[in-house]
Amino acid sequence: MIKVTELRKTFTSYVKEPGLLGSLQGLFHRREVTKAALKSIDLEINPGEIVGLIGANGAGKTTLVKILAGIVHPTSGTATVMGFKPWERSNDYRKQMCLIMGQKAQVWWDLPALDSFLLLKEIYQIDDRLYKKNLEFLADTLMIKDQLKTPVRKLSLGERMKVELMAALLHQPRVIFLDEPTIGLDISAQKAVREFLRNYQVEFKPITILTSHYMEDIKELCPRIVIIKEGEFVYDGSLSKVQRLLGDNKVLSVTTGEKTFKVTVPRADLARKTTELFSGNDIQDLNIHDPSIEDIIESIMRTGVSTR
Amino acid sequence: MKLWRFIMAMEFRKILAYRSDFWITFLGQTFIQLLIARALWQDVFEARGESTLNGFTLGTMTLYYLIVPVGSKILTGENVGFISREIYDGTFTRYLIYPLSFLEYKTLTYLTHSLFYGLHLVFIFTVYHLVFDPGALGPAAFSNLFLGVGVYLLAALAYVMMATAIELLALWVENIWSLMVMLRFFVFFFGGSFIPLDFFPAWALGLLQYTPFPYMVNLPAKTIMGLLSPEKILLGAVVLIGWTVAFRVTVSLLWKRGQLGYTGAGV
Amino acid sequence: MKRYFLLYLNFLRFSFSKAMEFRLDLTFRILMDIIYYLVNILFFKVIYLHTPLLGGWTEEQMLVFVATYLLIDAINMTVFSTNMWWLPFYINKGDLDYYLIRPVSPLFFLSLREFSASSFVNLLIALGFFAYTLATYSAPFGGLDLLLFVVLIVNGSLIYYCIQMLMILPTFWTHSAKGFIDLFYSLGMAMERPDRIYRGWLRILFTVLLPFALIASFPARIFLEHLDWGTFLHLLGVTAVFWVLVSYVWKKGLANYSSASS
Repeated sequence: MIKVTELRKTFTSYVKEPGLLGSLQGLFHRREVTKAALKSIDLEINPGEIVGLIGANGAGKTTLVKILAGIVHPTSGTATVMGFKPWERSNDYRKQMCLIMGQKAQVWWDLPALDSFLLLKEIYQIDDRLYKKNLEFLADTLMIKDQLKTPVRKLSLGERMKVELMAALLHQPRVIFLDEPTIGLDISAQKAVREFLRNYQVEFKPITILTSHYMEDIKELCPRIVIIKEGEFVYDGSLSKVQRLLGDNKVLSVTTGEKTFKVTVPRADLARKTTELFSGNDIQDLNIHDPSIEDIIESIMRTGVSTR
Repeated sequence: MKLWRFIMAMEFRKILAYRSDFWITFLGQTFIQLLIARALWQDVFEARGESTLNGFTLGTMTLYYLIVPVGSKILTGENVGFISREIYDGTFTRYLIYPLSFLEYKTLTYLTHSLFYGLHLVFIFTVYHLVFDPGALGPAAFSNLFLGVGVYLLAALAYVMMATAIELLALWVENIWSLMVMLRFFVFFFGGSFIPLDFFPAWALGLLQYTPFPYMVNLPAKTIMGLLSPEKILLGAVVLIGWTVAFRVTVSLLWKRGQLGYTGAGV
Repeated sequence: MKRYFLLYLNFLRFSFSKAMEFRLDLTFRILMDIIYYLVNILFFKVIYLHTPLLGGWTEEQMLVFVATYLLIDAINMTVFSTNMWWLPFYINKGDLDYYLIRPVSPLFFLSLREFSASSFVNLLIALGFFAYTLATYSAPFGGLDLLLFVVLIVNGSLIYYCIQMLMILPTFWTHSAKGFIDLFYSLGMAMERPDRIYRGWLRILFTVLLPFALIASFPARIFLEHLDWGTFLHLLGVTAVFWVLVSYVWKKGLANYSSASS
């Protein structure tokens, strides 16, 4: 179980004037800028739950995940994961946790994946039987048995991600942090990774936090989502109910002679807006439908929650 | 020319980017070797019980070790791997599609670092004389200083050509880092960075004059100290230019051959 | 303890299989270190053309000292140097992440992971050179001397490692420790000179604040003159103090670690 209260994190950086003169000035004097990456976050996640964390670049998703994984210390506030303070980094906590970052590799580049796995077995002190069992299970479900003896640098991007997943899950963690696990993968590899994560969740029931830019990942895997915007949560609840955030809106998809576009309008204005459109344009096709989850989330990330 | 100026200004900004780096390098480069070498020679002077050894007093020895460490940075300019690193990770191919010569660009950024340390040398030399020996600070001292820094820059040009020739070997073999370190050992030891060449045995000096090394450290440092006649400086400069041309030709050959065989990293 | 030993065996296995893949590089590196050794010996040969004594030692004694610091240098090159080279990049680019989440001391992992197989060959050469200088050295020495020497050699390597770490760790705050690291390499020369040439405040600098002079010069004294037990214990104490300092700064640094890329 994860419990986070009033968690804050601020970063400090320096700005410098452009030009050679600015650089020279910077040797003696510089201006400090602080940026709040997380502004007072509260969050509770129960065992077996899988939560999707959504937000634009720089919204604070990764910072939150890194604090919970014990990599970054928070500026203030508390967080406990299964009773542990993550940034104290006790071995007992680290043995039950894993972090997978789509953008950073953890397996050794020059060696076959199996070599890396053996080292991880030593690091996590996985006993022989469990190691064998998990290795087989993971290799089977990811369908990557044959590539484990090839140096990792010679694998394709999708195969490499599968190997990363294996490396992270060998010790059967009870808390999983997934940061963009499908980034850069082609459609079929994305599908395979998603499929695997779903099966794993059913089989082992870990707590999982998933961040992703791909709405498909979120829609397929996460019944519950958290939307984060500029360091604050703007939504925390079930995926299916996110529609309510935008109130009672409809989307008009319009095709005219020249172009196709979408207009979001409150239901009350629907008739008026439609007539307006018909009178002003050469309409060839018009659809009225409920906004999709992508539309809603995109609009929340752009403008915040405007209609509650 | 405008592009050149722009590239050099960018490189200067990079040098100044981290201020703690800048100040530490500035102080470290100026004082550490000087202090250690001075301690060593002080001990030697005392063991011998003499005030002059092979034409050096402890004072001129100190000046020598004030000049040489910064001078070494003029020679070695940018870091080891300034070309080979980009060859390994494949980023050097981006220069191949720009309308700009890769080697020209690299030589320019390298010499910007040299120029930077040249200014550093002018600064500390001036401060040294103001503090310890204001009497010697005549026009002659300054003309020697600027002449010497000029010779250092010429030596840097020869050095960058040698370094480029070695760095380009990265087109064939996977790691040349150790070769570059060897080049440094040779230039610094046989050039006179560790011990002034005056202390080497005569037969060794006889051999060394057929290598480029003494012209890269001994010549510019002694020029700054005002110990060389104009003829000697001129002759040294001509030798340096000769070596530069020779290595430039080698670089061209390597570059031509190497590009043909290059398969590219990071498929 | 046993676990860390097993982990280290794994690191060794990794390094040797990697080194075998890059054989030409291996050859170059061995050649480089041989030249480095020669330059160091030549340096003192040239100095002794002009003086009978340096730091109170004769040329014969100086060779024992040179062999001592080359040996310590080789140990550090083999065990720590590759790791120390990469550490600031890891800190700066946020690549520490995967080391921090493992149930193993990250400091152990990051300091010892890359055993340098190519330098290992040079360690053997340095050891050979040391044996040679000692065998030709005229004054007698006993088995106990040799034993104490081994302890102090290891101790010296640890001092070297601690100082190097203290120069790297500012990266957590400054984000580029290039200045400090260059400084460390220039300062490294201080260990390659007999300690008696340092006087006054320079002596305080190199024996107390940045104790480079304690790394090799004092262990060599075991053979060259008398080394009393007080000094011996002092040397071990210095390592302990510096180790505590490194652990403390490391902890502070991690608290400040921001893990680049948002």
